[in-house]
Amino acid sequence: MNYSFFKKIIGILLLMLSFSCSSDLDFEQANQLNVKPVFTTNLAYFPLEANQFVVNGVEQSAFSYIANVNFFDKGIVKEDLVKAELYFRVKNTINRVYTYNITFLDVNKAPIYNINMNIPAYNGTEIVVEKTEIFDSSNIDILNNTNQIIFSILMFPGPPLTAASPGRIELSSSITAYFDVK
Amino acid sequence: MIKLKVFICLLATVVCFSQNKEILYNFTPLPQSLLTNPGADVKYKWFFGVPLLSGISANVGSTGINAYDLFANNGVDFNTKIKEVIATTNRKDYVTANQQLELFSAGFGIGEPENKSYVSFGMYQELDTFIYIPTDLAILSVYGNKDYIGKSFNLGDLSVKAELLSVFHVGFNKPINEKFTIGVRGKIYSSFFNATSTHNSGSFYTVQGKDLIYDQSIRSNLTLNTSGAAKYLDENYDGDLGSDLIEDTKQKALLGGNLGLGFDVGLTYYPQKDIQITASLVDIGYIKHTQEVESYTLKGSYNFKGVITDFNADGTPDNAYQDFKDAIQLDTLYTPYTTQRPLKFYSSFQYSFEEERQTECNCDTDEDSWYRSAVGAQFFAMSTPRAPMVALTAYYRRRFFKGLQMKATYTLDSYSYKNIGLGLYTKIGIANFYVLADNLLGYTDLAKANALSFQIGFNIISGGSNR
Repeated sequence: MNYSFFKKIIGILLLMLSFSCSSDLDFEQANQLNVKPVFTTNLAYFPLEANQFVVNGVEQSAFSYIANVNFFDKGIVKEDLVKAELYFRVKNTINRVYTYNITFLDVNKAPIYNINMNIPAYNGTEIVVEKTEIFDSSNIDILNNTNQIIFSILMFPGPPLTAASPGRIELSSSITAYFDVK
Repeated sequence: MIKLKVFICLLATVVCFSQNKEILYNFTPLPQSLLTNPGADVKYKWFFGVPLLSGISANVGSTGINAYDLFANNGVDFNTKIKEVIATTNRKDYVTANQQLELFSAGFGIGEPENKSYVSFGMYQELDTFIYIPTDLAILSVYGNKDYIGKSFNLGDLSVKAELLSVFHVGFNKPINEKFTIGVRGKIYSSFFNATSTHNSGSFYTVQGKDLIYDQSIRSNLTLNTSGAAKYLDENYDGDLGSDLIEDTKQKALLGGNLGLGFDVGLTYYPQKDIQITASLVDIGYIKHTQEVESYTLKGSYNFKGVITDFNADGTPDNAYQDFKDAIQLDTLYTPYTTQRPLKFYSSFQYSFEEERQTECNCDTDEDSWYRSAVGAQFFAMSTPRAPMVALTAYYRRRFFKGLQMKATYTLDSYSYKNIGLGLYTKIGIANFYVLADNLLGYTDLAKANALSFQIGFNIISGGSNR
């Protein structure tokens, strides 16, 4: 036995390595990573019982609430939000007509968008009114510039309510946000 | 005259994928087999490995995916590949890498020739990583939750660990009688760097609600422990990463890191001359992390309700975001923690045949007879953060002549059902040279291989075993 045996072994080894091959790989592809997750979550929930429209024995027909929503211009929401669907659903079991106004205000408190929903009076079956507002590339700026949202409800005249009146009206809302992260 | 046999062990390389060293295990002519079973039936007068070159191995393996799936240059959009990988893998799939570099190793026999005990010692550096595919978190990141209403995302899918350490070891191997050999190896671990996030739990789910549009909640119990990395994790760190790492490694290699203790045990038993049974437990040990510890926790639960008000009470999305941050707090801790080393279990059953007897005095070996051939089966199991990794190997060993031995293996494991391996041991004059290669079929396309292994080496050995 001599060192030619070594050479044979090394030869076999090199042969094995030279026969081995690898498909063409391109690790630069990782730079093309682009994910488009879509998240959905609750935006708001405003329930009102019929008797809450009666304050000290007198009907109060208007309520409103100002929500600070300055997260629309922050971080990933500002950078990568490309589309949003705002879904509103009102259920009414009170025998009165209502209207909801949802007004978007910018940082100067100037209104820049308004959503209106008219709700018929309860007639024995639960009234359900739905509305979806879509913000896409043409108007997503509106959301990014929104700093506050005013939720207001107005009750139209009708059969008087008392502290014992049955029924309720509720606004439920969700937001579905489409991101495009590169 | 005793002819001194010197073998140079130059173990260069490298692509050994999976920590199961099924070819090396019980391939007793190689002194390195003592690292997989301190009770291996070895025979040598003494040996040593060339410093830094006696053992270099790297192992990478993955289940469910391979490099080709993600990085093939085939015109398919990278994001499509990502989605396909998510669709075809699950939380049980993992990517693992293990690399070892023997800094030095040596051994010698003591006692009477017919009842020789063996001492072996050395030091090696090891890099160990184990990452489970975080399936649910990947789905959430890539798709979001909109199309997964009703699904509970498991935050416990996050399970990763990485460790860089050096190991100093001393082993003792003693034949109790002709049939029975036992061995033990003590180890001191010095961990330079550790990151462990393996005990996570939690969930995030969204289902259709009754009053609110959704019932949506998150429960989080996530922990990441790190040691030896605090300097690099500091947001004000602006040093040179490369040179700092080298400096750190120098300082910590010689027991300057976080220390731990461990041991290996093993045995070889011959119920009859041609039947051999072996078993070993490797890395029964732990490391106590006390220096440069920095741990992060994200714990708490929160129900996402959005703005809720009856027009009289407070509540804005702004508050909701603050409530969320208050409910699920990110905390940084500096308390010591302990990690277990991945425990490896090997065992084998071997039947030998084609017995040959020594016909003339040959001082090369202590044995007066040997078998030309043997067949056997091996079992391997290793602890992981979840279910143990297991492998079954069938093998055939052949001693062609004094200086050439071979071990061929066929292994079933989680990476592959067609893993064929081959080990060759040669002994020429005073030199020992060996080649161990695993998953030979993978060499037809390295990119599509889930696991591969390849190792060559030279040893300096006096005396030698032929069993």
